[in-house]
Amino acid sequence: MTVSAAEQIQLLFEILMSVDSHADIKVSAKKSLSLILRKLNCSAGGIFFVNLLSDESDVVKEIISIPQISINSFYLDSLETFKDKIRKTGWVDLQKSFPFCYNHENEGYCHILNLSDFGFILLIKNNGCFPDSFIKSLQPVFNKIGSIYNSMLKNETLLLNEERLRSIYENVNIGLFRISSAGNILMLNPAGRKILGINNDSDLGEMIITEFYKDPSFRDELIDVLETKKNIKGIRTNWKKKSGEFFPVNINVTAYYDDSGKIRYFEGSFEDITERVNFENNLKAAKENAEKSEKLKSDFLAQMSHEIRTPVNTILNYTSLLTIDKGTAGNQQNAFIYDSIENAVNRLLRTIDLVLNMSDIENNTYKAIFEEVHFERDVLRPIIQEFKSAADKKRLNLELISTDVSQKVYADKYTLVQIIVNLLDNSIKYTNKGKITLSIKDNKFSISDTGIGISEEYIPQLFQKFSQEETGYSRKFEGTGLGLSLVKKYCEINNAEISVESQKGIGTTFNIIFKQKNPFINEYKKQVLH
Amino acid sequence: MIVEFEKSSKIEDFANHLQVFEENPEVQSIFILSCDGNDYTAENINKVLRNCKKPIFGGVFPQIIYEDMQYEKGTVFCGLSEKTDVHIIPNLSLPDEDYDRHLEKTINGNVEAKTIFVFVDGFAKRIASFIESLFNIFGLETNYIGGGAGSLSMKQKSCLFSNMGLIKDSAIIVHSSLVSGIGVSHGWEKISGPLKVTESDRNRVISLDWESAFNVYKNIVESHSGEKFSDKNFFELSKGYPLGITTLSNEEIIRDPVSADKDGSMTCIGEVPQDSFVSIMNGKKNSIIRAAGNALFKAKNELPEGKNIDSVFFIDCISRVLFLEGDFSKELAMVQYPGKKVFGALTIGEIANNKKDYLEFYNKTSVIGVFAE
Repeated sequence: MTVSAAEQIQLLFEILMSVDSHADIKVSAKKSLSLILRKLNCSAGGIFFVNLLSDESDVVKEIISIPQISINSFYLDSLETFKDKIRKTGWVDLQKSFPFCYNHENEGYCHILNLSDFGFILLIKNNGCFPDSFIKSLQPVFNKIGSIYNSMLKNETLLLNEERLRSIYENVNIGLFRISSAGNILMLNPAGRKILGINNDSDLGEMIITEFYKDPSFRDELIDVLETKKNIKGIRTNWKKKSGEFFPVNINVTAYYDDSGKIRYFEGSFEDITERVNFENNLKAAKENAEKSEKLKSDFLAQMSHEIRTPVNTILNYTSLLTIDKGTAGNQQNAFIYDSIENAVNRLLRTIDLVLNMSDIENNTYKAIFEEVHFERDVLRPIIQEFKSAADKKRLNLELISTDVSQKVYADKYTLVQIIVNLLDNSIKYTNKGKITLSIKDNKFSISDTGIGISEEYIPQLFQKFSQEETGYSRKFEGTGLGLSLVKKYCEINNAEISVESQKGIGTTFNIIFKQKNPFINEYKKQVLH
Repeated sequence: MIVEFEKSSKIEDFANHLQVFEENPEVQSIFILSCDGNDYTAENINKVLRNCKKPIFGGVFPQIIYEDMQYEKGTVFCGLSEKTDVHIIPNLSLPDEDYDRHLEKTINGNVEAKTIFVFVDGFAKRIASFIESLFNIFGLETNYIGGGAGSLSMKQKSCLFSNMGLIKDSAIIVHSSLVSGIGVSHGWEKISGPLKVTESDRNRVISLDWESAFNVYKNIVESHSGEKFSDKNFFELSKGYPLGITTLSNEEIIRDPVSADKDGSMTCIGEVPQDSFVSIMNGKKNSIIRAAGNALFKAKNELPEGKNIDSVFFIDCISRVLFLEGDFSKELAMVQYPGKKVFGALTIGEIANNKKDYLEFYNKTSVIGVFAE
């Protein structure tokens, strides 16, 4: 094939002119590729963009192929072969071998030319191969085309970004502004206009921002700050709408300086925070009301504590007296009645104690007194003694295993006792046969029973207030559901960690670990020393 | 392929002949080449075409060819043994029509065609864009053959056969499994150096080398022919001096200037792309006639090895008849193949490609398709 220099120049010119740099890259690629293929009598071809930033599978992206339908296997084979080459050799090194050509099973020739840094063009020719000299003469034109595509791609990306920014500017619901150092509004987005009540057709240039300040001197203060600090965020002030109505506003401003260091203009955002301020005010009022009612509740409970405990204790005392005489003065039926009254009143007292204690904890009115407590002697033994009869009634074996009889802990004795009382009370309540074992080893206290156990699903809720595994009328065991919640709070007061292991139908073990570094030690020592 | 000539120009004879083909079980599709001079009205021929149950395609041309004769009246009926899908692409003059999209719709999974027949309304304004779309969508994997239908009256009218009736401003494409060899040749020679098309609008060349197109053209033609253009003789002189669009190592694509306009532009049959290069061409009768023989030779060589010729389909430009006048019979003699039927049409623009060469809308060119047995 002989092509004169003049013909080559004409061809190259036509091809170059076919790239419409104002069009969409795909439209332009299609137009120029069509012309290139037809002018060069190629049966198929493609223009490919090489995006080295993309992951390996997507490095080569097809911009356009011709024909669009039924691309032949030669074309596809050539493309795959070439993609492999890029993976193996790397795009930068491979470009040095451009342009190149190879024959495909005598079906035709595949020519690959560089499109500058844009990518490459693949030309399939099934009526002979381009001579070397000719294909080399084409390369500079394709480099030029590649450069044009490259700038088109950059422009498209730029336009896309601009479009996105424009869309944000137009659609965001906070005000965006640019204001000159003199205060003239240079730019204001639609949301900003809406907030300030400025019509879309109003001329912004004649508006000065100070006319929108409730107190115009506040702007001077802002500028003073911005002279030294480039931006200010989250400033709250009051602005005035075009209609004269005041509203609270939250402003973020950045100052832009000229070469001499003077402020050229300000850019930033503002938000009408009327709703937020109203909400905050409502919240504040609600908090104050809550605190007030909490105080009332505490006072009420303190009052109730006295008012309930006194008559209940009276009932309990007189019932005890009657119980003593039950053997002689009463018959079997009376004895049962007195027992029931005593049990019910004790239960009522425990419930009142729990409610009052929980109230103290929640109101932070509980005052802990830390001291060195002999755990076995001062806490466990008296409690075991107290609960022994209850355990005996259910024929439960109650035992204590202690490896260190002189074990002492720094703790608040009242809450420590309450922890053990509640846990032991629970164990007896939920165990119908077998035994309950209390053990101390080093800083760990455990209480195990052979009771009904706790299901795995319920364990996470175990220490929540008013929780019981079975609720409503179907529950088998009485109680408020406050006990374990209080135990956990009491453990926290004593810097102890409580955990539970349980198997449904087998039994439950609660473990309490008193931490070695007791934060209350210092406080304790302080109390002791003074 | 069954090829028959109906010399009558009457609609009744057309209808009878069509019925014979329709009733022939060996015929699955009917390809019709008819003359603009026939006595049909759109109304009566549409009725006949719409009643036909078999696929119909083809066109109405200024003249048709059967054996070694050209006819201004009559019809050539070709019966194909395959049932073809006939696709109509409308709006061939609309400036923004997207032909790629239309063509994609016609695919229907049928991309295995060996030959694609393409007939267009020769007076549509965007034929070259349509041909470009054909290339963009189907590429050069298939042979293409066809041409522009229409009338020498230069008025655009319904000229394409379909089962919907006669249609205009459209293209018809037909995928066929016929094995073919295609040859293209024109025999025109350059008489001027390349001129840059500095402004054009589809088929109107506005300026060449930044000067009024007609001025440039006039100077070269008058100087070569020794004759002068007047208000009335533009076509008389221009028919011997077409424009040739430069291609690479192939013959130029001929564009036939048909009128010079008052603004100094020239209107051609077929588009002349802006920024392309054109030469002014001229032909001697002998070289033009030899070109037809050359086209047949090329077509025969393109037929796959081992295949024998069944028939010869000759698409030749009507302007060659106008140029060769009485010598056109010599061109017809050049394309005869012993013992084989020769049929075709004298068209307003030719369409061809043989998998290798430029797929184009040609002017003043001979295109031969030889079909294998």
